[in-house]
Amino acid sequence: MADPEPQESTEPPRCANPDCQVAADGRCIEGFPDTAECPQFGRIPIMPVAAAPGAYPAPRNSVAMQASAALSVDEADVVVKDRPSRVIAIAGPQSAGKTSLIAGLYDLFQLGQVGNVAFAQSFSLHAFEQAAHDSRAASRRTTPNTARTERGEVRFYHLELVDTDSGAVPSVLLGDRAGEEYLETRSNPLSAQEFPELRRADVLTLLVDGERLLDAGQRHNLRSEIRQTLHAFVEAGVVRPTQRLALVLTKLDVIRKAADRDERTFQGFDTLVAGLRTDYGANFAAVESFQVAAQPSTDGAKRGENLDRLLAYWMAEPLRYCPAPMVFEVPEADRYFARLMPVPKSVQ
Amino acid sequence: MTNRSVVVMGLPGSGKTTFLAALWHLVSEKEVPCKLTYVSLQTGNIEHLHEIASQWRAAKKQERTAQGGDKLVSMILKAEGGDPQTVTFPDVAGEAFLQMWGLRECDKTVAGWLKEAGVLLFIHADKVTVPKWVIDEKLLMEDLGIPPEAETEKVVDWSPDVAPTQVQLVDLVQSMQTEPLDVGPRRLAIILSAWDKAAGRGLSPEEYLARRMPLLDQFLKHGLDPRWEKRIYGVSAQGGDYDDDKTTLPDAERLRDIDMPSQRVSVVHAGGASNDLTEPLQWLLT
Repeated sequence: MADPEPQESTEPPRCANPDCQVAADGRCIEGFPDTAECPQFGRIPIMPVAAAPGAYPAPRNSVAMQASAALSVDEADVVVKDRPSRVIAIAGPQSAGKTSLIAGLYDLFQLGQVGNVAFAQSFSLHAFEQAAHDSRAASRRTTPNTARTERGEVRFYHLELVDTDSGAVPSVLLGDRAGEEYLETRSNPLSAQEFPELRRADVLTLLVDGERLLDAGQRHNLRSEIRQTLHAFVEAGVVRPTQRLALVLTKLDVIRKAADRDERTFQGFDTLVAGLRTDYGANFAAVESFQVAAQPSTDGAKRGENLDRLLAYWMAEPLRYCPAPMVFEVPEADRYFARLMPVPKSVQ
Repeated sequence: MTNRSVVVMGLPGSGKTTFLAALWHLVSEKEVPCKLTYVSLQTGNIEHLHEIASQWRAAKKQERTAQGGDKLVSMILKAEGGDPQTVTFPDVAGEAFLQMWGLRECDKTVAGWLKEAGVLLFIHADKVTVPKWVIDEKLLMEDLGIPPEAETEKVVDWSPDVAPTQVQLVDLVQSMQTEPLDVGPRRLAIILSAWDKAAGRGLSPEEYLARRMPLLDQFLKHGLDPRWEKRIYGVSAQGGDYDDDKTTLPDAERLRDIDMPSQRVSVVHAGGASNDLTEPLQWLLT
C-alpha cells in the first residue's frame, strides 16, 4: 500500500449530469464550448440507483449513500492516509476464529465501552452486522455459528475508536482473509508477499485455535502450522521490526469446559508462545500472548472475555509513527569530493 | 420574515406523524403556553394536518405515512419578541430511512430535505430492538430444562432490517455528516417518543438512551461531528395507547376524558417537564 507515483490521469472526463455524454463524444450537454467551464464537468456523476429485486420498492431517482461494507485495500489505504490508524492483520488457519474475533469485538461495543475504549463510528456497519448475524438470536439458530471467510482479496473491517484516557481517536482496520491462504504460505513463503495486510500491519495477530489445541490428535499439527506460518512470513520479508506480534489462544470457553485437558492445553499454548518468542521475537518490537473467548459457544467464559486486553494492545501507538534516528555513515570513495558530509548543526 | 426548515427523521413507527399532529393541535388551539406561537399556515397540506390532528384528538392511531406519500407541511410560527418564521416539516415515511440503511440509497427529494440544519430524530422509546445472542437463549433453555431444538430451515439469513435499532440509527446520523448529505454544523434534537412508557424506570432521557442503546450513546459522545450540537428530549405526544380500527382501549378513553387535549402532551428535558412540544423546535430554529 505504498504511495502511488504521481501521473497524468488517464480516466475519461466525467460530468455530474448522468445524461451528459462528454466522456463519449467530448460535447457538453449544457452547451459550454469549453467543457472545463461547465459547473457539472469533472464532478462525480449523480447516478440514479436501480431498484433491487425483492427488497424495498426503490424510488426511480435516488442518490447513492456511502457503502457500508468491509473496505478493499485501496479504500483502507485512503483511511490510513487520511487519519491516525492501526492496521491489524489477523492470521491463522481456517476455523481458528478470525471472523468470530472481529464480530465478537463489535458485539461488545453494542453493550458499552470495551475497557477504556469507546466506539466513535464505523464505515463497515453492514459487514460487521453480517459477520455477527449467525451468533445473534435474530438468525433463529439454536447454536451460534460464524460464516467462513471466502478466498479472495483481504477485506478490512473499519472502526473509529476513542481511547478515553489519552483522547486518541484512531481508525482501526481489521484485516480478514481466508485461513487457507495463510496456511498455504508454508509451502510457498513468497506468496505472503501478495498479502498487503501483513507488510502494512501495526500488529500481526496470530490465532491459535483452542479447540484444536485440546484435541490430542490435532494439537501437534496445529503448533507446527502456527510455527511454519510465522516462519514463512519472516522468510518472505513481510515482517517488520516496528510491528508487534499478538499470539491469541481462541475459544477459551471450550478449553475451560474440557475439565481433564484444560491445564495441558494452557501449558501447550505457553510452550508454543515461549518457542515463538525465542525464535522470532527479535523480528518484532514486542510479543504478547492472550487467551480470549470472542463469541463463546458454552458457559465457560464471558462474552468477549479478555478482548479488552487485546484491544488495548491493538490501540497502542504504532511504532511506524516513531521514526528511528538516522545514522550517518561515512561514504567510502576514492575521490575526496565524494566524501564530503553535511556540517552538523552544532558546529554551524 | 425568515424561512427555516426542520427535517424530521426516524424509522417506521417512531412517532413522527403523531408529533406533528399534536404540534398542530398545540399551536393552533393555544390551550397551553408554548415557546412558539402559530401565525398562519403557509400553503396547502392543511388537509393532512387537519386529518392527523383529528385522529390525535379522538385518541385514534395514526395511519402509517406511505412511502411516496411524503407530505411537506409548512406553518408560520413566531417566538415571543421574534419575527415570524416559516417552518417547514417534511413528514417522510420511515421506510425512506430504512432504505438509506439497507439499500444505501436515498430518494433525491428526501435527500434535499435532509440538508436542513435542524434535525429532529425520533426514536420510539418502547420499541427498541436490542441485540440478543443465540448462546444466551441456549443457556437459558438449558437452565429451564428445555431440550435443545435441532437446527431447522427456520434459520433466517442476514438482511439489513434485522440489525438492532441502535445500529440503524448510528448509520442514519453518520450518513448525515458524510457525503452526499454533509452540510456542516447542525443541531440535532433526539426525541425519545412514547416517553410515558419509559418514564416509569426513573431515568432521564440521556440515561435511558445510554442504558438502552449504548452504541448510539457512544457514537453521540465520540463520533458526532464536533461542530454539531445535540439535545435529548423525552416526549409523550399521545399520553397513552390509542384505539386502532378494531379495538377501544381504556387508556384512550381516559385520554379523551381530559378536557384540554394539550395536557396529554409531556416534554421532558434537562430535569424539567412541560406540555410544550415547540421546545425542541424553538431550540432548533435559534
